[in-house]
Amino acid sequence: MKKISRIQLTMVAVGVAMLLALAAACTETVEVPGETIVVEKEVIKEVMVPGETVVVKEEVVKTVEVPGETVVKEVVKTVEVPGETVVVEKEIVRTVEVEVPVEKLVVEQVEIVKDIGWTPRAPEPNPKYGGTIRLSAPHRMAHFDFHQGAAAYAGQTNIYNNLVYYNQADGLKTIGPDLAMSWDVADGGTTYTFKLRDGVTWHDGMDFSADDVVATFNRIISPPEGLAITATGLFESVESVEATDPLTVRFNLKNPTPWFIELLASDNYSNPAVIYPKRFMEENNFDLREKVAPGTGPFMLNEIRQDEYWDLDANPNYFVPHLPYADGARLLNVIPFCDRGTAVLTGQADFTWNTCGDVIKIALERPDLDAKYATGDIFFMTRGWNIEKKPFDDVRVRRAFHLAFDRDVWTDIYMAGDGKTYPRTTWVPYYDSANALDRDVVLARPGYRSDKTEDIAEARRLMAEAGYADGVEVEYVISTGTSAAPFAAAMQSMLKENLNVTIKLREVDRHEFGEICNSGDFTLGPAHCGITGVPTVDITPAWNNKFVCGAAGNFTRYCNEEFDDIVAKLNVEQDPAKRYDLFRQAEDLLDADPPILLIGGDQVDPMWWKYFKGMALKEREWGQWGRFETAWLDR
Amino acid sequence: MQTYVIRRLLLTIPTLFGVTVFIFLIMRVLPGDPLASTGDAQRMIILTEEQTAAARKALGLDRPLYIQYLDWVADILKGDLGYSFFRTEEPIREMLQRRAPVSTQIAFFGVIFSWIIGLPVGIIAAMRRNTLLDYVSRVGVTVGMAVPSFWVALTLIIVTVIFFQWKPPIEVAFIWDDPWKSLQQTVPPAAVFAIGGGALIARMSRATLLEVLNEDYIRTARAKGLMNRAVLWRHAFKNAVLPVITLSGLQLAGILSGMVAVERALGIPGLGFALINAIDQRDWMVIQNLVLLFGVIYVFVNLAVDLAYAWIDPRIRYR
Repeated sequence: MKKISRIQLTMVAVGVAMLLALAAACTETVEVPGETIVVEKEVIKEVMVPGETVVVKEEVVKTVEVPGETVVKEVVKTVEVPGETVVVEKEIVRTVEVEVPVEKLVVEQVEIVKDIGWTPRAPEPNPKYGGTIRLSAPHRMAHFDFHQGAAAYAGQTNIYNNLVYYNQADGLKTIGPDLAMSWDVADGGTTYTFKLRDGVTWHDGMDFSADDVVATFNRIISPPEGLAITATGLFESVESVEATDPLTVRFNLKNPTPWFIELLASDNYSNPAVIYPKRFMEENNFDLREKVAPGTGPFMLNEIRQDEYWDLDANPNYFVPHLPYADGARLLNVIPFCDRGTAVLTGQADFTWNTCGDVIKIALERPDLDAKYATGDIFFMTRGWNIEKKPFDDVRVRRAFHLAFDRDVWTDIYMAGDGKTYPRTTWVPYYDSANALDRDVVLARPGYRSDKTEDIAEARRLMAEAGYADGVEVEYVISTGTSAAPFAAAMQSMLKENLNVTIKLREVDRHEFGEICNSGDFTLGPAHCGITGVPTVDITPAWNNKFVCGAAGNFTRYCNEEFDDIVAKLNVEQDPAKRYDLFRQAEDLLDADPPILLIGGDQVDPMWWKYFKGMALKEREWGQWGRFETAWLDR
Repeated sequence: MQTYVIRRLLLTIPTLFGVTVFIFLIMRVLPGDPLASTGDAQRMIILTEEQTAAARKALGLDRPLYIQYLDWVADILKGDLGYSFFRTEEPIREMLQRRAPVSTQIAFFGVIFSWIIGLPVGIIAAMRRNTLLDYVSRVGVTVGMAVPSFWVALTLIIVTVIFFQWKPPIEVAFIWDDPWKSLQQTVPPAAVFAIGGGALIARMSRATLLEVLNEDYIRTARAKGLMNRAVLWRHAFKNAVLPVITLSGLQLAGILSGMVAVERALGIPGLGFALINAIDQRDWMVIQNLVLLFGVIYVFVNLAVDLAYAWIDPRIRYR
C-alpha cells in the first residue's frame, strides 16, 4: 500500500476537524442504520430577482475519496445577486466514521463565473478548443484610438472589454456582465453603480481596477486639450464618474438616460465604449492613436501587418476561464465588399461580417457554407436635404418627397432585384423589436407601401399647394465613381415621373461630404447629411444628435419644437410602454414633417463556413462587428 | 560610357525632384485630407471645428506647405520613410519591404511571360507572313492589345471564384518561404499583364523582324547558303530584338501603373493595392512614398534599358 505523507495526513485531519465543527452546527441529521450521514445545508438567504443577473461567484468542490468505504464531499457555493443581496449556500454531505486510511485525496477547486441569465459561452454544447479564427473584413485603421475615431469595424475590439456587453450566444438580444460583474441603478435612473470583477489583469500584466474605468470615461466626457473624442456627445448626460472602492464604479448622471447601458455595451463603429488602462493613457499623454493599448480582452495583439492582417493570440488569463475557445485569430484586411465573401468562399477565411449579395447567393447554395441575408445593421439609408434652401424649406415639399419616393425601386437596385427582402423601416429602426412597428404595419403606411398610387396623388397635390405644380429643379450632391450612378439615375427618374422634379447632379469626392454637410452647401445631399450610422439600437441618441433644433449633427437644419418635446420626454422616460407611445407620436410627426429623406434601414450579410460556430449569427436581428470570443471551429 | 551613366544618374535628380513636388502638391489639391478618412464624416458624430483643428495640428497639417514638403524630403534623404498616419508601430519602410517583393515578382514574371508569349508569336507570324497562322496571330494580337488588363483580371477572378472556388492568396507569400503559395499569388496577375504585353511584343517583333529580314545583310547571308534557322537566330533576331527591349522597359513601367488596378481586382497584397488603400484613406505619407518609389523604379528601368543596348549591340556607343 502506498505510504501516506505527513502533509496528506495533516490535511485529512484538518478536514475532518472542520467537518466535525460544522456538524456540531448542523441543522439536519439523518440517521441511517449502521452509519451516520450528516447533511448540513445552510442557507443564509435566497432571493429571486426576476430579470436580474445572478452570479455564482465561487463554487468550491472538495472531494475526499477513500476506496470502497466512505466519501466526504463538501460543496460551497457563493452566489451574488447584484446590488444588495448575497446568497450563500453551503451543502455538506459526509460520513463520519472514517476507519480506513486515506489512500487518495482529491482536492478540486473550481472557480467559475456563471450567471443565471447568461454566461459568455457558445450556444452549442461541447465547443471545441483550438485553431485560429480567420475573419475577412476591413481592418485598416487610421490610428489605434477607438475613442478618437479609429474605425472599430471588425475584430480589433477583441483586445478589449466593455463594462457590459451584448450576448453573442443569443444573437445580441441581451446585455450582460463584461468587466462589470453586476450593476445597480438608483436615484430614478441617475446613478449607475458597477461592481467590477476581481483579479482581472491587463495584457501587460498590470491589475485592472476601477481607476481604469474612471480614467477611460473621464477622457470621453472631458477630453484633454487637443484630443477629439467622437463619443463625447453621446455621454453628455454623465455628470461624473467615480471609483467608490477599487472594484466599484459609480456613474452620476444629470438626467435618466434609458439607453445608458446600451452605450456602455457598444463596441460598434459609432461608439466603441471599450475600457483602456489608466497607466497606459497617462504614459501616452492620454492620446492612444500611435500605439495599441493593452486590453483585458479575450485576445491579445501579437502582430500587425499594415493593410494585411492583425494577428491575435488567445489571452490565457482571460477572466472568463473557458473563453476564448480559439487559440488565436487572424483579422485579414479585406476591404472590397465582395472580396470579403470570396475570401470565405475560397477557404482563406472562416467568416465575414458582411459581403455582397452575389457571393451570399453562392454560399446559400452550398451545403458547407452558410449565410444570413439581410441582418439588420445600425445604419440607415437616407439622404439629407437642406431645410434652409428652396424647395425643402416648405414642409409640403418634404412630405411630398417622402410620399412619392419609391422605396421598392431603390432597394431593388441595391439588392439586385431582391428589394422586397430589404428591411423597410420607419423612423424607429425595424431591428428595435421593443419599439418598432411590425413590418406588415410599416408596409401599409403611406409612403412606405408598395402601391404608390394614392401616395403619388397626395404628393402631387402637396407640390401644387406649395407652388410647384409644374415641377422644380433640385441639385443633388453625389459622390464621384460608379457606385452612386444607378441610384442617382433612379432618383432622377422616379422624381421626374412622380413629381415632375428635375434632379441636377453635382458630383463631388466623398471625402468632401463632411465639409459639405457641415457648411450646408447642398440642397439634396448624401446620407452623411442625413443619418448613416447610429450608436445604439434605441434611436433616441441619434435623434438628439441629428433632428433636434441646433444639434451638432443636424446638417439639414431641421427644427420642430413639437418633435423636440417628444425627444425631451424620451430622454428621461424609462417606462417601456410610455416610451413605445412616444416613439409612435414621433414617428407620425416625422412622417408629416420629414427632417430627411428616409429610404430604409441598412443591412449586413454575414457569411461563414458551417464549421464556424459559437456566434449565433443566424439569430441576429442587427449586426455588431465586434468580439468573437465565443466562436469555435468544429473541424 | 562612364560619363554617359553619370550624366544619366545626375539627370534622375531633377526628374525625381519633379516627381516629389508633383505628388506632394497633387495630394494637397485633392479634396480631403488624412482626417477625412478617420471616418468621422460617415459617422453619427461629427467633429467640431475646434476638434478638427486640434487633430490637424497633431498631424502637422497646419504647418506651411513648404515646411511639410521639406520635412518629407529631408526624411527621405535620411532613409526614413515615416509612418502611416499616427501609427508609429507600422513604419512605411516595413510595409514596402514586405510588399515590394510581391509586386516585383509580378512585374518580373509579367515581362518574362510577355516574352514567352510575344516573341514566338511575332517570329512565327513574320516567318509565315500572310499565311493563316499570321492572320490568326494578328487577330489575337489585336484583341490582346485592345483588352484592358483590369478587365482580364476581373474576368479571371470571377471565373476562378465561381467555377473553382479559388482566388490568389490574400496574405503576402514570399517565394523563399512558400514557393507554391507565392506562385499562386504572382503568376495570375503576371499572366494578366502578359496578355497585353505579349501582344505588344508579338506585334513589335513581327514588324522589326520583317524589316530586318529585308535587309541586305540577311540577303547576303542567305546567298552564301546559310540555313533559314541560322539566318534567323544568328543575324536577324539579335537586331530585331533591340526595339523589343525598349518596349519591355516601357512595359515594365506600364505594369507598375497597371499594378494598381490588377492587384485590386485580384486582391493581391502588393504595392499597387497598398497605393489604392492609401489613396482611399488619403494617407498622404504612404501615397507620396509609393509614388516616389514608382518614379525611382521608372527612371532606373529606363536607364537599365539604355545600358542594355550596348550590351546587346556592341556597335552602340554612348557619348
